[in-house]
Amino acid sequence: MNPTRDTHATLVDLLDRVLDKGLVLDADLIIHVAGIPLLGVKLRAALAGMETMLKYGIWQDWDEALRAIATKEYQQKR
Amino acid sequence: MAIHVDEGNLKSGVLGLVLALVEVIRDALKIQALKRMESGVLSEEECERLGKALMELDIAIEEIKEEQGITESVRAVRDGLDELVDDVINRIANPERWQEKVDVRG
Amino acid sequence: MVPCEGRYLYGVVVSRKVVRLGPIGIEGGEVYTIPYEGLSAIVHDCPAEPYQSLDEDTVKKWVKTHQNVVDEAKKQLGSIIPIGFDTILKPKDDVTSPDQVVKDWLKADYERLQTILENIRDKDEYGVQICYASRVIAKQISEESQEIRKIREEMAAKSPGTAYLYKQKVERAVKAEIERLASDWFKDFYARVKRHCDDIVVGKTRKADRNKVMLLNLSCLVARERMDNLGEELEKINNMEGFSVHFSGPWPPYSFVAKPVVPVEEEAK
Repeated sequence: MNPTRDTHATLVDLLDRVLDKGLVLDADLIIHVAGIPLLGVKLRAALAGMETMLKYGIWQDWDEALRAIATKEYQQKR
Repeated sequence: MAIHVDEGNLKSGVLGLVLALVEVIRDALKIQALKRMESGVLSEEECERLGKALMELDIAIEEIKEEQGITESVRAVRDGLDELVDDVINRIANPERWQEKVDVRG
Repeated sequence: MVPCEGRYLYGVVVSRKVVRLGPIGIEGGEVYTIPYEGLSAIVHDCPAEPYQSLDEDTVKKWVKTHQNVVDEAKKQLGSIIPIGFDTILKPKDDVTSPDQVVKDWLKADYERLQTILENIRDKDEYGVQICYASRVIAKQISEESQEIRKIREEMAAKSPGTAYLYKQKVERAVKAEIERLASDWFKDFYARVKRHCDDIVVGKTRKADRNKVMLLNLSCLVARERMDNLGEELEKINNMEGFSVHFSGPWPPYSFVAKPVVPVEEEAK
Protein backbone atom coordinates (compact mmCIF):
# COMPACT_ATOMS: atom_id res chain seq x y z
CA MET A 1 0.00 0.00 0.00
CA ASN A 2 1.38 3.39 -0.93
CA PRO A 3 0.89 6.64 0.97
CA THR A 4 -0.82 9.58 -0.73
CA ARG A 5 -0.66 13.29 -0.26
CA ASP A 6 -2.58 15.09 -2.87
CA THR A 7 -6.17 14.02 -2.60
CA HIS A 8 -9.06 15.87 -1.07
CA ALA A 9 -9.00 13.44 1.84
CA THR A 10 -5.41 14.24 2.66
CA LEU A 11 -6.10 17.96 2.74
CA VAL A 12 -7.52 17.38 6.19
CA ASP A 13 -4.34 15.51 7.17
CA LEU A 14 -2.31 18.48 5.96
CA LEU A 15 -4.44 21.08 7.72
CA ASP A 16 -4.36 19.09 10.92
CA ARG A 17 -0.57 19.16 10.90
CA VAL A 18 0.16 22.65 9.63
CA LEU A 19 -2.48 24.38 11.75
CA ASP A 20 -1.97 22.57 15.01
CA LYS A 21 1.49 21.06 15.09
CA GLY A 22 5.08 21.89 14.30
CA LEU A 23 7.91 23.33 16.33
CA VAL A 24 6.89 25.06 19.54
CA LEU A 25 8.54 28.42 20.13
CA ASP A 26 8.80 30.44 23.27
CA ALA A 27 5.43 32.17 23.53
CA ASP A 28 7.16 35.44 24.31
CA LEU A 29 8.68 35.77 20.88
CA ILE A 30 5.74 35.17 18.66
CA ILE A 31 2.83 37.37 17.83
CA HIS A 32 -0.38 36.81 19.75
CA VAL A 33 -3.84 37.89 18.95
CA ALA A 34 -5.38 37.81 22.37
CA GLY A 35 -8.77 36.21 22.67
CA ILE A 36 -9.62 36.12 18.99
CA PRO A 37 -9.35 32.81 17.18
CA LEU A 38 -6.42 33.22 14.83
CA LEU A 39 -7.59 32.16 11.42
CA GLY A 40 -9.82 30.17 9.20
CA VAL A 41 -12.38 30.06 11.96
CA LYS A 42 -14.91 28.48 9.69
CA LEU A 43 -12.34 25.96 8.56
CA ARG A 44 -11.27 25.02 12.05
CA ALA A 45 -14.86 24.70 13.09
CA ALA A 46 -15.43 22.35 10.19
CA LEU A 47 -12.47 20.29 11.29
CA ALA A 48 -13.77 20.14 14.81
CA GLY A 49 -17.25 19.25 13.63
CA MET A 50 -18.64 22.36 15.20
CA GLU A 51 -19.86 23.89 11.99
CA THR A 52 -23.42 23.21 12.95
CA MET A 53 -22.96 25.09 16.17
CA LEU A 54 -21.85 28.11 14.20
CA LYS A 55 -24.65 27.74 11.73
CA TYR A 56 -27.20 27.93 14.48
CA GLY A 57 -25.28 30.68 16.22
CA ILE A 58 -25.25 28.70 19.40
CA TRP A 59 -21.78 29.68 20.46
CA GLN A 60 -21.85 33.38 21.14
CA ASP A 61 -18.11 33.75 21.69
CA TRP A 62 -17.31 32.34 18.28
CA ASP A 63 -19.94 34.55 16.84
CA GLU A 64 -18.49 37.74 18.31
CA ALA A 65 -15.00 36.78 17.23
CA LEU A 66 -16.23 36.08 13.73
CA ARG A 67 -17.81 39.51 13.57
CA ALA A 68 -14.58 41.11 14.74
CA ILE A 69 -12.59 39.42 12.01
CA ALA A 70 -15.25 40.05 9.38
CA THR A 71 -15.29 43.74 10.25
CA LYS A 72 -11.55 43.94 9.98
CA GLU A 73 -11.53 42.16 6.63
CA TYR A 74 -14.20 44.47 5.37
CA GLN A 75 -12.24 47.53 6.46
CA GLN A 76 -9.09 46.25 4.84
CA LYS A 77 -10.85 45.76 1.55
CA ARG A 78 -12.14 49.34 1.42
CA MET B 1 -27.77 31.18 24.37
CA ALA B 2 -28.86 33.17 21.36
CA ILE B 3 -30.03 31.12 18.42
CA HIS B 4 -29.47 33.02 15.19
CA VAL B 5 -31.77 31.86 12.44
CA ASP B 6 -32.28 33.93 9.31
CA GLU B 7 -35.42 34.12 7.13
CA GLY B 8 -33.99 31.65 4.67
CA ASN B 9 -33.37 28.80 6.97
CA LEU B 10 -35.84 29.73 9.68
CA LYS B 11 -38.11 26.80 9.18
CA SER B 12 -35.49 24.15 8.53
CA GLY B 13 -33.19 25.58 11.19
CA VAL B 14 -35.67 25.35 14.01
CA LEU B 15 -37.21 22.14 12.71
CA GLY B 16 -33.80 20.52 12.45
CA LEU B 17 -33.07 21.36 16.06
CA VAL B 18 -36.42 20.14 17.25
CA LEU B 19 -36.18 16.87 15.37
CA ALA B 20 -32.65 16.29 16.60
CA LEU B 21 -33.85 16.67 20.17
CA VAL B 22 -36.88 14.49 19.53
CA GLU B 23 -34.53 11.78 18.27
CA VAL B 24 -32.38 12.06 21.36
CA ILE B 25 -35.45 11.75 23.57
CA ARG B 26 -36.74 8.84 21.49
CA ASP B 27 -33.43 7.02 21.94
CA ALA B 28 -33.67 7.51 25.69
CA LEU B 29 -37.23 6.18 25.64
CA LYS B 30 -36.16 3.09 23.72
CA ILE B 31 -33.56 2.31 26.35
CA GLN B 32 -36.07 2.81 29.13
CA ALA B 33 -38.62 0.60 27.39
CA LEU B 34 -36.07 -2.17 27.03
CA LYS B 35 -35.16 -1.95 30.69
CA ARG B 36 -38.79 -2.18 31.70
CA MET B 37 -39.40 -5.16 29.49
CA GLU B 38 -36.37 -6.96 30.87
CA SER B 39 -37.20 -6.24 34.47
CA GLY B 40 -40.49 -8.05 34.01
CA VAL B 41 -42.78 -5.24 35.15
CA LEU B 42 -44.63 -5.15 31.85
CA SER B 43 -47.26 -7.63 30.69
CA GLU B 44 -47.04 -9.03 27.17
CA GLU B 45 -49.78 -6.74 26.04
CA GLU B 46 -48.05 -3.70 27.56
CA CYS B 47 -44.80 -4.63 25.83
CA GLU B 48 -46.61 -4.90 22.54
CA ARG B 49 -48.30 -1.52 22.95
CA LEU B 50 -45.11 0.21 24.05
CA GLY B 51 -43.09 -1.32 21.21
CA LYS B 52 -45.68 -0.36 18.66
CA ALA B 53 -45.87 3.22 19.92
CA LEU B 54 -42.10 3.61 19.62
CA MET B 55 -42.12 2.03 16.19
CA GLU B 56 -44.74 4.51 15.06
CA LEU B 57 -42.75 7.38 16.53
CA ASP B 58 -39.75 6.20 14.50
CA ILE B 59 -41.77 6.17 11.31
CA ALA B 60 -43.26 9.60 12.02
CA ILE B 61 -39.83 11.11 12.58
CA GLU B 62 -38.48 9.69 9.34
CA GLU B 63 -41.51 10.96 7.45
CA ILE B 64 -41.17 14.48 8.81
CA LYS B 65 -37.47 14.56 7.98
CA GLU B 66 -38.14 13.44 4.44
CA GLU B 67 -41.07 15.76 3.83
CA GLN B 68 -39.24 18.78 5.18
CA GLY B 69 -35.92 17.90 3.57
CA ILE B 70 -34.04 18.20 6.85
CA THR B 71 -32.46 14.77 7.19
CA GLU B 72 -28.97 16.20 6.72
CA SER B 73 -29.59 19.15 9.06
CA VAL B 74 -30.70 16.83 11.80
CA ARG B 75 -27.67 14.63 11.36
CA ALA B 76 -25.40 17.66 11.40
CA VAL B 77 -26.92 18.93 14.64
CA ARG B 78 -26.54 15.55 16.27
CA ASP B 79 -22.94 15.23 15.06
CA GLY B 80 -22.23 18.71 16.37
CA LEU B 81 -23.73 17.81 19.71
CA ASP B 82 -21.58 14.68 19.85
CA GLU B 83 -18.44 16.65 19.13
CA LEU B 84 -19.34 19.26 21.69
CA VAL B 85 -19.78 16.61 24.33
CA ASP B 86 -16.48 14.97 23.33
CA ASP B 87 -14.73 18.31 23.53
CA VAL B 88 -16.15 19.15 26.92
CA ILE B 89 -15.18 15.75 28.26
CA ASN B 90 -11.72 16.16 26.81
CA ARG B 91 -11.31 19.52 28.44
CA ILE B 92 -12.30 18.11 31.78
CA ALA B 93 -10.01 15.12 31.39
CA ASN B 94 -6.98 17.02 30.08
CA PRO B 95 -7.01 20.58 31.39
CA GLU B 96 -3.23 20.96 30.97
CA ARG B 97 -3.32 20.14 27.30
CA TRP B 98 -5.75 22.95 26.63
CA GLN B 99 -3.85 25.42 28.74
CA GLU B 100 -0.67 24.60 26.81
CA LYS B 101 -2.45 25.28 23.55
CA VAL B 102 -3.68 28.63 24.80
CA ASP B 103 -0.25 29.74 26.01
CA VAL B 104 1.59 28.87 22.85
CA ARG B 105 -0.89 30.09 20.32
CA GLY B 106 -2.11 33.11 22.19
CA MET C 1 5.71 51.21 11.82
CA VAL C 2 8.10 49.36 9.56
CA PRO C 3 5.84 47.62 7.03
CA CYS C 4 7.70 44.33 7.01
CA GLU C 5 8.83 43.98 10.54
CA GLY C 6 7.77 40.39 10.92
CA ARG C 7 9.62 37.27 9.90
CA TYR C 8 7.22 34.49 8.98
CA LEU C 9 8.82 31.18 9.90
CA TYR C 10 8.52 28.03 7.82
CA GLY C 11 11.19 25.82 9.31
CA VAL C 12 14.78 25.23 10.31
CA VAL C 13 17.48 23.48 8.27
CA VAL C 14 21.17 22.72 8.53
CA SER C 15 22.88 25.39 6.48
CA ARG C 16 25.44 28.17 6.90
CA LYS C 17 24.59 30.30 3.89
CA VAL C 18 21.96 32.78 2.86
CA VAL C 19 19.89 31.01 0.23
CA ARG C 20 17.06 32.55 -1.76
CA LEU C 21 14.19 30.28 -2.73
CA GLY C 22 12.20 32.82 -4.70
CA PRO C 23 8.73 34.37 -4.36
CA ILE C 24 7.11 31.11 -3.35
CA GLY C 25 5.87 32.25 0.06
CA ILE C 26 2.40 33.20 1.25
CA GLU C 27 0.93 36.06 -0.77
CA GLY C 28 4.00 35.87 -3.00
CA GLY C 29 6.51 36.57 -0.25
CA GLU C 30 10.18 36.20 -1.15
CA VAL C 31 11.49 33.20 0.77
CA TYR C 32 15.09 33.09 1.96
CA THR C 33 17.21 31.81 4.82
CA ILE C 34 18.62 33.56 7.87
CA PRO C 35 21.62 31.62 9.14
CA TYR C 36 23.09 31.53 12.60
CA GLU C 37 26.21 29.40 12.69
CA GLY C 38 25.26 25.94 11.43
CA LEU C 39 21.50 26.38 11.32
CA SER C 40 19.22 28.50 9.18
CA ALA C 41 15.62 29.62 9.50
CA ILE C 42 13.46 29.63 6.38
CA VAL C 43 11.51 32.90 6.32
CA HIS C 44 9.72 35.52 4.35
CA ASP C 45 9.24 39.17 5.39
CA CYS C 46 5.73 40.10 6.40
CA PRO C 47 3.80 42.73 8.35
CA ALA C 48 3.97 42.09 12.06
CA GLU C 49 0.56 40.49 12.35
CA PRO C 50 -0.89 37.07 11.69
CA TYR C 51 -2.57 36.05 8.44
CA GLN C 52 -6.26 35.82 9.17
CA SER C 53 -9.27 35.15 7.04
CA LEU C 54 -12.78 33.85 7.30
CA ASP C 55 -12.66 32.61 3.74
CA GLU C 56 -12.06 28.88 3.72
CA ASP C 57 -10.46 28.87 0.29
CA THR C 58 -8.00 31.58 1.24
CA VAL C 59 -6.87 29.67 4.29
CA LYS C 60 -6.53 26.44 2.32
CA LYS C 61 -4.43 28.28 -0.23
CA TRP C 62 -2.18 29.72 2.46
CA VAL C 63 -1.73 26.37 4.13
CA LYS C 64 -0.84 24.69 0.84
CA THR C 65 1.64 27.47 0.09
CA HIS C 66 3.16 27.04 3.52
CA GLN C 67 3.59 23.33 2.88
CA ASN C 68 5.04 23.96 -0.58
CA VAL C 69 7.71 26.16 0.92
CA VAL C 70 8.58 23.49 3.48
CA ASP C 71 8.75 20.89 0.71
CA GLU C 72 10.92 23.07 -1.50
CA ALA C 73 13.27 23.91 1.36
CA LYS C 74 13.59 20.23 2.12
CA LYS C 75 14.34 19.46 -1.50
CA GLN C 76 17.07 22.09 -1.75
CA LEU C 77 18.51 22.04 1.73
CA GLY C 78 17.77 18.66 3.29
CA SER C 79 16.14 17.67 6.56
CA ILE C 80 13.84 20.39 7.91
CA ILE C 81 12.10 21.02 11.21
CA PRO C 82 8.65 22.19 10.15
CA ILE C 83 7.03 25.10 11.93
CA GLY C 84 3.28 25.59 12.20
CA PHE C 85 1.24 28.09 10.29
CA ASP C 86 1.32 31.76 11.30
CA THR C 87 4.42 31.62 13.49
CA ILE C 88 5.81 35.11 13.12
CA LEU C 89 8.70 36.70 14.96
CA LYS C 90 9.00 40.42 15.40
CA PRO C 91 11.30 42.67 17.42
CA LYS C 92 10.13 43.68 20.87
CA ASP C 93 11.98 46.98 20.85
CA ASP C 94 13.14 49.65 18.40
CA VAL C 95 16.76 48.64 18.59
CA THR C 96 16.77 45.03 17.44
CA SER C 97 16.36 44.31 13.75
CA PRO C 98 13.91 41.60 12.68
CA ASP C 99 16.73 39.48 11.31
CA GLN C 100 18.53 39.75 14.60
CA VAL C 101 15.46 38.50 16.46
CA VAL C 102 15.56 35.39 14.31
CA LYS C 103 19.26 34.87 14.94
CA ASP C 104 18.83 35.39 18.67
CA TRP C 105 16.13 32.76 18.68
CA LEU C 106 18.29 30.28 16.75
CA LYS C 107 21.10 30.94 19.17
CA ALA C 108 18.93 30.41 22.23
CA ASP C 109 17.39 27.19 20.94
CA TYR C 110 20.46 25.95 19.14
CA GLU C 111 21.08 22.74 21.03
CA ARG C 112 17.46 21.70 21.06
CA LEU C 113 17.14 22.34 17.33
CA GLN C 114 20.27 20.33 16.59
CA THR C 115 18.98 17.41 18.61
CA ILE C 116 15.67 17.44 16.82
CA LEU C 117 17.34 17.57 13.40
CA GLU C 118 19.51 14.65 14.33
CA ASN C 119 16.49 12.65 15.47
CA ILE C 120 14.45 13.23 12.35
CA ARG C 121 17.19 12.74 9.80
CA ASP C 122 16.15 10.37 7.00
CA LYS C 123 12.74 9.89 8.54
CA ASP C 124 9.31 11.01 7.40
CA GLU C 125 5.96 11.35 9.07
CA TYR C 126 2.97 9.34 7.86
CA GLY C 127 -0.67 9.46 8.84
CA VAL C 128 -2.42 6.14 9.40
CA GLN C 129 -6.16 5.98 10.01
CA ILE C 130 -7.94 2.69 10.33
CA CYS C 131 -11.73 2.52 10.16
CA TYR C 132 -14.26 -0.25 10.37
CA ALA C 133 -17.51 -0.35 8.40
CA SER C 134 -20.25 -0.36 11.02
CA ARG C 135 -22.88 -2.20 8.99
CA VAL C 136 -20.51 -4.91 7.79
CA ILE C 137 -19.11 -5.52 11.24
CA ALA C 138 -22.53 -5.39 12.90
CA LYS C 139 -23.85 -7.96 10.46
CA GLN C 140 -20.84 -10.22 11.02
CA ILE C 141 -21.28 -10.05 14.75
CA SER C 142 -25.01 -10.67 14.77
CA GLU C 143 -24.45 -13.74 12.63
CA GLU C 144 -21.47 -15.13 14.49
CA SER C 145 -22.29 -14.41 18.09
CA GLN C 146 -24.18 -17.22 19.78
CA GLU C 147 -25.73 -14.92 22.30
CA ILE C 148 -27.04 -12.60 19.63
CA ARG C 149 -28.33 -15.39 17.42
CA LYS C 150 -30.35 -16.59 20.38
CA ILE C 151 -31.94 -13.18 20.89
CA ARG C 152 -32.81 -13.01 17.22
CA GLU C 153 -34.50 -16.40 17.38
CA GLU C 154 -36.60 -15.24 20.32
CA MET C 155 -37.41 -12.08 18.44
CA ALA C 156 -38.74 -13.96 15.42
CA ALA C 157 -41.43 -15.52 17.57
CA LYS C 158 -42.75 -12.26 19.00
CA SER C 159 -45.52 -9.89 17.91
CA PRO C 160 -44.45 -6.71 16.07
CA GLY C 161 -44.33 -4.26 18.99
CA THR C 162 -42.48 -6.65 21.24
CA ALA C 163 -40.18 -7.62 18.38
CA TYR C 164 -39.30 -3.95 18.02
CA LEU C 165 -38.20 -3.88 21.65
CA TYR C 166 -36.19 -7.05 21.07
CA LYS C 167 -34.45 -5.30 18.21
CA GLN C 168 -33.13 -2.83 20.79
CA LYS C 169 -31.77 -5.79 22.66
CA VAL C 170 -29.92 -7.01 19.60
CA GLU C 171 -28.54 -3.56 18.88
CA ARG C 172 -27.38 -3.17 22.45
CA ALA C 173 -25.67 -6.55 22.41
CA VAL C 174 -24.00 -5.82 19.08
CA LYS C 175 -22.81 -2.45 20.34
CA ALA C 176 -21.34 -4.03 23.48
CA GLU C 177 -19.59 -6.69 21.44
CA ILE C 178 -18.14 -4.12 19.05
CA GLU C 179 -16.82 -2.09 21.95
CA ARG C 180 -15.15 -5.12 23.40
CA LEU C 181 -13.66 -6.11 20.06
CA ALA C 182 -12.66 -2.54 19.22
CA SER C 183 -10.39 -2.50 22.20
CA ASP C 184 -8.68 -5.70 20.98
CA TRP C 185 -8.48 -4.43 17.41
CA PHE C 186 -6.92 -1.19 18.56
CA LYS C 187 -4.22 -2.96 20.51
CA ASP C 188 -3.50 -5.36 17.68
CA PHE C 189 -3.34 -2.76 14.91
CA TYR C 190 -1.38 -0.37 17.05
CA ALA C 191 1.26 -3.01 17.79
CA ARG C 192 1.48 -4.02 14.13
CA VAL C 193 1.97 -0.44 12.96
CA LYS C 194 4.35 0.54 15.74
CA ARG C 195 6.69 -2.29 14.80
CA HIS C 196 7.72 -0.34 11.70
CA CYS C 197 8.03 3.08 13.31
CA ASP C 198 10.74 4.95 15.10
CA ASP C 199 8.13 6.88 16.99
CA ILE C 200 4.36 7.09 17.06
CA VAL C 201 1.69 9.49 18.28
CA VAL C 202 -1.93 8.56 18.92
CA GLY C 203 -4.28 11.23 17.63
CA LYS C 204 -7.91 11.98 18.31
CA THR C 205 -10.28 9.95 16.20
CA ARG C 206 -12.62 11.97 14.01
CA LYS C 207 -16.01 11.34 12.55
CA ALA C 208 -15.41 9.32 9.41
CA ASP C 209 -17.99 8.76 6.66
CA ARG C 210 -21.56 7.88 7.38
CA ASN C 211 -20.97 4.12 7.62
CA LYS C 212 -17.45 4.05 8.96
CA VAL C 213 -16.10 4.44 12.45
CA MET C 214 -12.55 5.58 12.97
CA LEU C 215 -10.68 3.21 15.23
CA LEU C 216 -7.20 4.70 15.23
CA ASN C 217 -5.64 7.91 14.08
CA LEU C 218 -1.87 7.60 14.22
CA SER C 219 1.05 9.78 13.24
CA CYS C 220 4.12 7.67 12.54
CA LEU C 221 7.77 8.63 12.29
CA VAL C 222 9.24 6.12 9.88
CA ALA C 223 12.79 5.68 8.65
CA ARG C 224 12.87 5.98 4.90
CA GLU C 225 14.04 2.42 4.34
CA ARG C 226 11.20 0.97 6.42
CA MET C 227 8.33 2.71 4.67
CA ASP C 228 7.71 -0.25 2.37
CA ASN C 229 7.35 -2.59 5.32
CA LEU C 230 4.76 -0.31 6.84
CA GLY C 231 2.96 -0.19 3.49
CA GLU C 232 2.82 -3.97 3.35
CA GLU C 233 1.45 -4.24 6.86
CA LEU C 234 -1.25 -1.68 6.09
CA GLU C 235 -2.12 -3.52 2.90
CA LYS C 236 -2.85 -6.64 4.95
CA ILE C 237 -5.08 -4.70 7.32
CA ASN C 238 -6.85 -2.95 4.47
CA ASN C 239 -7.67 -6.35 2.97
CA MET C 240 -9.41 -7.54 6.12
CA GLU C 241 -13.17 -7.70 5.68
CA GLY C 242 -14.85 -4.64 7.14
CA PHE C 243 -11.68 -2.60 7.65
CA SER C 244 -10.17 0.21 5.64
CA VAL C 245 -6.90 2.07 5.90
CA HIS C 246 -6.13 5.66 4.98
CA PHE C 247 -2.40 6.10 4.53
CA SER C 248 -1.13 9.65 3.97
CA GLY C 249 2.30 11.15 3.57
CA PRO C 250 5.19 11.56 3.50
CA TRP C 251 4.89 14.68 5.64
CA PRO C 252 7.65 16.64 7.31
CA PRO C 253 7.63 15.51 10.95
CA TYR C 254 5.15 18.08 12.33
CA SER C 255 3.99 15.75 15.10
CA PHE C 256 7.47 14.92 16.31
CA VAL C 257 9.17 18.24 16.79
CA ALA C 258 7.22 19.85 19.60
CA LYS C 259 9.28 17.99 22.13
CA PRO C 260 12.61 16.44 21.13
CA VAL C 261 12.29 12.78 20.17
CA VAL C 262 14.12 10.72 22.78
CA PRO C 263 17.35 9.86 20.98
CA VAL C 264 17.97 6.18 20.38
CA GLU C 265 21.16 4.98 21.99
CA GLU C 266 23.66 4.10 19.32
CA GLU C 267 26.26 1.51 19.88
CA ALA C 268 29.81 2.72 19.50
CA LYS C 269 30.84 1.93 15.96
